[in-house]
Amino acid sequence: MKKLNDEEIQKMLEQRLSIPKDDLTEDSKDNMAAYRFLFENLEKEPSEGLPYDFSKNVTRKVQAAVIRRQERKWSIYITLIIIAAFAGISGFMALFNYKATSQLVTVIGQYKWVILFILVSILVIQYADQYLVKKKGAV
Amino acid sequence: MFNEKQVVTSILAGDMRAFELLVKQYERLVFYVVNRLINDKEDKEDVCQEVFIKIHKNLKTFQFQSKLSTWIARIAYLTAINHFKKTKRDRMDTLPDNIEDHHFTDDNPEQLLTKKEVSAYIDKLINQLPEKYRTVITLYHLNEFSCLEIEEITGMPEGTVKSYLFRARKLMKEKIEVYLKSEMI
Repeated sequence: MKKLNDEEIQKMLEQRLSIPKDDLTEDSKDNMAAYRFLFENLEKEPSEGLPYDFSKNVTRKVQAAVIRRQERKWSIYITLIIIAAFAGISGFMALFNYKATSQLVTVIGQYKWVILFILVSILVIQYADQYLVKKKGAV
Repeated sequence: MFNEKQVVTSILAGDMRAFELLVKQYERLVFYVVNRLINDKEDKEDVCQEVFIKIHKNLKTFQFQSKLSTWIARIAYLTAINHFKKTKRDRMDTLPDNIEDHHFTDDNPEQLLTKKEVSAYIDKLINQLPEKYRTVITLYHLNEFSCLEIEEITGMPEGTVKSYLFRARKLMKEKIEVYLKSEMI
């Protein structure tokens, strides 16, 4: 008759080993049965789970986030392109008509706060729009 | 058959159908981890969604140095644990992490009649364990990760994982032993 302690029984069940019942003491037999019952139950899947359309919903959300990220990237690119184009045109004009360019720079200087306000407003509207879309998608 | 390398490459190339396939493949794994740490049903789904959004965002950093399932389980564990810690402050039934001081509620297992009830009782016992023990038990028994993989997922040393497993099982065995004895009579 062999007496097994808790550690030995747990190890045996982990390795899915078995030992003839008759070789164990009564105490070990009871212990083994209790552990076996526990192991079987621990391996049982939970009764509840995720909804059947979970993968579709997540994919839709991720796709929306990807599109938003791409839109944001493009709006930054477009802003940069406009600024670069404006600087390029101004530089090009300066080569041929210095007077007109200096007049343009003076006008820009005069209305710099208005221009800045318009640019910042456009960016804020864009971000607010994206924030609201994201919030709506989360509901 | 699910080819993780091919699926990951397709997702990185922008294929959303491949991503849906990945979600289908690992949603159970993620749910098992999240389920043990979070009680609220709606929160469980939200956290699972958050996990997959993180997976999509960080997939480019996955270098195939470990199994994809281990990497996903780690993200699930960290996301769930963050959520658990955030909501822990509002909960009254917070338990000590030291299992030596741990006592289950006074439910009497002798009153349990059917196997189904016992399964529910064991589930209840697991939910009363400190969060680290719950995680280890779930990752080992339900997700079938090895102790070494659990170390990779949770960051706990392998020895600690083994010790948590042993102590949690022993504690639960002592509780259900009463039921089994009464059943045999």
